[in-house]
Amino acid sequence: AVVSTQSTGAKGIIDQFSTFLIDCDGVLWTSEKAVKGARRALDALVKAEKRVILVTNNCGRTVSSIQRMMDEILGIPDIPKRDVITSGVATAIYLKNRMNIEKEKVYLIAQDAFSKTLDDYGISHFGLGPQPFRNTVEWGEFEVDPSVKYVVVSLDPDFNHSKLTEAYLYITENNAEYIVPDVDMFYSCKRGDGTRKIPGTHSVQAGLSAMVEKAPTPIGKPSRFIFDMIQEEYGPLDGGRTLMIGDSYETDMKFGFNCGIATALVLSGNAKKEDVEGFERQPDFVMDDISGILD
Amino acid sequence: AALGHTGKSSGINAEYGACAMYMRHQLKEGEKIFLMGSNGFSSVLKECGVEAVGHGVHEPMDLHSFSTFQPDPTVKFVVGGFDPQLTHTKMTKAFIYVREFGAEYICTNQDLVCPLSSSRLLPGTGAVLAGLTAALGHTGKVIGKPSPIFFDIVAREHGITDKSRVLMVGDNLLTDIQFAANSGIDSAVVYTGVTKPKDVTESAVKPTYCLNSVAELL
Repeated sequence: AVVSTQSTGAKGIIDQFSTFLIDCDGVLWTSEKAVKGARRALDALVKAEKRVILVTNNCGRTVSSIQRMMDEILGIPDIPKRDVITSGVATAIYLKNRMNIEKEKVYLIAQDAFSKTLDDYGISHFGLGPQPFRNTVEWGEFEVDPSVKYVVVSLDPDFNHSKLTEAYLYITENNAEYIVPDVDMFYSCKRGDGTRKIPGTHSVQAGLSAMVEKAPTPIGKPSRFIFDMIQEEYGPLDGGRTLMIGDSYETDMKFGFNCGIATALVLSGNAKKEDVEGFERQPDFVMDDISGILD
Repeated sequence: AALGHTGKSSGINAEYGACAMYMRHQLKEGEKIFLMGSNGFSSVLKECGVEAVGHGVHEPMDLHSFSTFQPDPTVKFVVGGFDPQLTHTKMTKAFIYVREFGAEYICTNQDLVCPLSSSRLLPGTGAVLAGLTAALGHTGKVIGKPSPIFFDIVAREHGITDKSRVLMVGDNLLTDIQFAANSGIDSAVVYTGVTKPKDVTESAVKPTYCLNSVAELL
């Protein structure tokens, strides 16, 4: 059900928009189980021939695994690759459009799925996986490869002092660009019937960001980079008829505000009903779950 | 009296010792700590009778594996120092102990960097623990310099009762001199290390005395 709306029109939500940018976790599914109402909402969007683009900061999944989840969990078998945008995909496109592939290298701090995404776009990279501790003598002798011009820092279960130091050296000694695919403070995993909050990408970036002076390049929500990138790569969207649906105020709603598009917050994931009145800016719609667009 | 043993060469070990003494007084029978620290720190804690879990290398765990992570219920404190084996995985367990299970978080210090040479810095304890600080929204209780807790522990262990008779001698304004100011004792900065006269002029915290070297104490 729609909990609140800033809209005064009599038209149903689904009729007001031609393009739907939809976050995945907490909106369509939570830990591989469909969110209530998600299947109905997606069926209606497909039937009404609306453009559906998934926009997720989660770079722990490849595009093909998300396509498979759409099929197996939500019965949508044919969402095109270009309509599944992870922060991994957006980073790959960012790099593809800027790098001198022959001469420049990417130092990658991320999970396996991210590395596969970069591989898909032909972006070569190094640094994935565990890295042993180097002592002060080893760091004194460490030779910084001057061709490493990009440092990408995302969630990495193996992130440690060694990776932090190596990233720091490329940024300070090579003036490498410091790229952050997402800055999410926490992720959620299932715990019994509820969820468990654990430190996310922002935690991985915290030490490095404190040590370097230059601000990193943001890729994922709430930066509007993905919105602009979709249009540059695949053609313009009608901003006035585009709706962002998500479960996080800090990433999804602020993304919508930054892009100048309409916003719908669902309460089936991160955001709770009690949070809503405290927001400094109200989303256009607040709903219990995504099936609220059918109202 | 000069606190000679807090000089630079034994600085790190002094903080491990102080932390271990502090923890010994905090833990009840059967209680343990979750340790993020070096082998040196682990030894010092063991010598003080502090029982630790979690020390060493952890298998990387992805997001979903944390669904089933079950902490040790006897852990009442999370203790952090410079840990060469701290990964995001290990740090996430520390977070769960503090945030979900109410463990108290203690750290040895928060120094962001340590200079390797004139041109290279290495991440210090503060940078290594920065991820946990960001997730928790606080640094935990800092035992080492510049925290006055360090002074309280040292004073208690050495029977020091008259603060007016104590002088802190050090070369670092941010740790040694700030520590003295925080602890309410006099300080002397020596110019034989990282600090030069110009730094004292520009510093908000001022030492009581400025010395060219420790020889000038005589």
